[in-house]
Amino acid sequence: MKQLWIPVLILLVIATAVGWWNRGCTRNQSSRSTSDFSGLDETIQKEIWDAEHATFEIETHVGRKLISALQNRSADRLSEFFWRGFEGDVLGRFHPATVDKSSIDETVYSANSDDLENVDADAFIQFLIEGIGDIRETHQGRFRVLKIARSEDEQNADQWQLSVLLTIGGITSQGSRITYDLLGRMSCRFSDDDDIVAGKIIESWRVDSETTRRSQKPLMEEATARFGLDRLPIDDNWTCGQDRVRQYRFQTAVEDFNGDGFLDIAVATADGKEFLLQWNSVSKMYDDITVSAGLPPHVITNNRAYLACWFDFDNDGDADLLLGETLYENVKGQKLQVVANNGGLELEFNPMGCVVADYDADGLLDVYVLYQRPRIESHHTTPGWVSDDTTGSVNQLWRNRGDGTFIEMSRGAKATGGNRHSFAAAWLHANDDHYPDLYIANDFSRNSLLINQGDGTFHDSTAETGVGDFATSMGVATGDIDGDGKPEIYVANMYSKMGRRIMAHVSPDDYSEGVHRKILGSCAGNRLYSNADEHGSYHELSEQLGVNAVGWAYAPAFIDFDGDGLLDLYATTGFLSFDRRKPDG
Amino acid sequence: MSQPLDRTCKIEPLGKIDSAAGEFWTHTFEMPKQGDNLSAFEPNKLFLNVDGKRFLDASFASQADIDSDSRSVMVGDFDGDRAPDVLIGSVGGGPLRLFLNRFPREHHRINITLKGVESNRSAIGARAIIEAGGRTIVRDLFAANGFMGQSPARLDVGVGSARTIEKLTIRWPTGRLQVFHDLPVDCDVVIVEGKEKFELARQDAAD
Repeated sequence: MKQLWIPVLILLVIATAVGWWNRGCTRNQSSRSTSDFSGLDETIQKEIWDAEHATFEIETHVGRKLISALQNRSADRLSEFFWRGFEGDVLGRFHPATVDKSSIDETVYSANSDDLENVDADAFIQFLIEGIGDIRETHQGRFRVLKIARSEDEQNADQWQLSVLLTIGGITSQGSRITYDLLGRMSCRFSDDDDIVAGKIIESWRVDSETTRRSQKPLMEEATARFGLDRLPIDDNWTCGQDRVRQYRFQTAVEDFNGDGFLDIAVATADGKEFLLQWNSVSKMYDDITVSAGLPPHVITNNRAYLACWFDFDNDGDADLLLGETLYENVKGQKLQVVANNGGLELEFNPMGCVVADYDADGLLDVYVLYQRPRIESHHTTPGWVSDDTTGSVNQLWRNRGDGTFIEMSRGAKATGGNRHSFAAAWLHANDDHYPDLYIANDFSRNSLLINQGDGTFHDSTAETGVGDFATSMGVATGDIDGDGKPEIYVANMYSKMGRRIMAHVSPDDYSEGVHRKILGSCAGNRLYSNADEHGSYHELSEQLGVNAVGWAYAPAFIDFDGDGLLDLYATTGFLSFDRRKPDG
Repeated sequence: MSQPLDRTCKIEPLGKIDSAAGEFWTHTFEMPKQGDNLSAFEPNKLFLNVDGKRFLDASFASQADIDSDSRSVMVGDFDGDRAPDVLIGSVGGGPLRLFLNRFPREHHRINITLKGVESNRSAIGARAIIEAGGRTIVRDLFAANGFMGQSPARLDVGVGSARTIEKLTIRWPTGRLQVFHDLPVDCDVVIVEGKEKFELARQDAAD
């Protein structure tokens, strides 16, 4: 039988590629049938294909030109996209909802609270132009199709219903940064690609909301070059050449190495380079003190270990360093000295990171090391793309014995996290005792919340707390965002506009039991779990709080940027970018 | 038909491809090798917590919304002004980029350094319960590592408009509780486990 892929599978295979791609794209990969995935009906496959292709055509041939015409305030050019007899519904702009926060003011008009007025094409175009009236100089603009479906009426097979998001950003006449978002629903009519390229396809457009945000001043200032951080000889995907592109390149850890009150930076790279950057209070820049501190500038490892983690393992008041796979003792803030026998730490292949805490409250810091998968052997099976609980590596819990050595306790402590592909973890106080609990973010499989029992063991409470999440987690952060004294858990997952569009075409009935939910989860975006009741169960609030759509997300961090006592969020994202002229896959 | 779900399948389009406009259709694992974008040029996000019930997307205003395939973010006060900055690790567009906090200085902060005695010396795992300005703020001391980047373990706490911290409760990693009253803001304080008094290490000049 001819094997046909559909975009949803592309999306999901992309998800699995997160961890898989590292092992090399050209390897002949063994396959493993996954019996619980039954095929999609071919009609649905074609429907999805047609919808995704139409989306590309509309965004490319209509969206870009429409944005350009709007940026130029050209009513004539805008009118080229509207059918004769076009019907528009615009907001009255009478009842704004406003937010004023840290020099940003946001104004939202919504169909929920505003009257809609039915208008013709000319009036609709004026509405669009008025919407960006405060933008003096436009810097960016995008027209995105969020949902798309062909009319179910066979007599109107050339009619399509779309949800669209129009975004324009720029600078006001006062020099403030400003963005404008218009969310709406439109009906388009076209028979083929040529109709779309010609452009006159919009039959109706209903505006659901308008959001304008202005900022009086930039809230952050880049100081990379000023601090001497722009000269690091670390390979960069954008300059290193296509054959040397990597998904991950290095791990970094920040602490005050020499006790001068300023932060220093340790870096270990996947190709064996190591750096120790120390703040120089005279030059006000970072100095590379790798060699003078006693670190080898380059290490050869067959273990693909490039950990970076500061922790005072010997309790002498200064920060020691686990770098690469070697444990170093901090000697008076001047040297890093290799610890004999590596303190007993025996790391497995390719640790993804580590997090420290005193899990047994004995006054000594312990280390939890995360692993993605075992070293590839010829018989190794490909990870499943969701619910893979078998092909990953178990994690390690190294208990500090206080004599300069560690002992691995994960199995006895029931803290291995299972044979899952672990990417990140966070210690947190999920309950009211003083023993730190552990949340583990896994790719391919559900995440885990391990509750510290206080007796040296952990209980996997994922099921009863409901924080298992889905199949594509990359990172995690915790912190109390709502002031109830209980930390929330924020998980970095994949968000995909394409995935969301596609999922609108399928239903649970199209798949075997439970599969649809998993697929839905794999493009669902970041998750925010709020600890909401005395029984320890969590509610998922990411969309409600507005922190869901980040992208192909990696590391989140809670930070109180403005000092108001409320934790804000910074979240990194983006898989692999090569050419701004090319479309995004 | 059975739906192919392993990675050996051939990917074949089900319709016309507008290659002239840049539409492409390749095996997922071939895309990076061929220089095709995949979730590309996505700007990092900065969300401001409005009231604990919603966040405001302030990415555009931050100037820290770089689209460089960022992986890690390390949080700390890199320039010594008490406000948290971010060091961002990326695989494109510069490996480490530092963004300093330039938010309006309209709120107060306190930096609390804990020194464990029975607890681990770094006091990692401690909880600070800060009562100031009519509300309670809870912060736990860990060296966060969201993904491939470890931040320093610090208790740098914003307290909004409060000019005094009426009560500070420290729950040490051993479980021991200590309570302090009437701490100033815009300062660094050092607290040693078991000692009754905190040490004022640094205080900013009054407004």
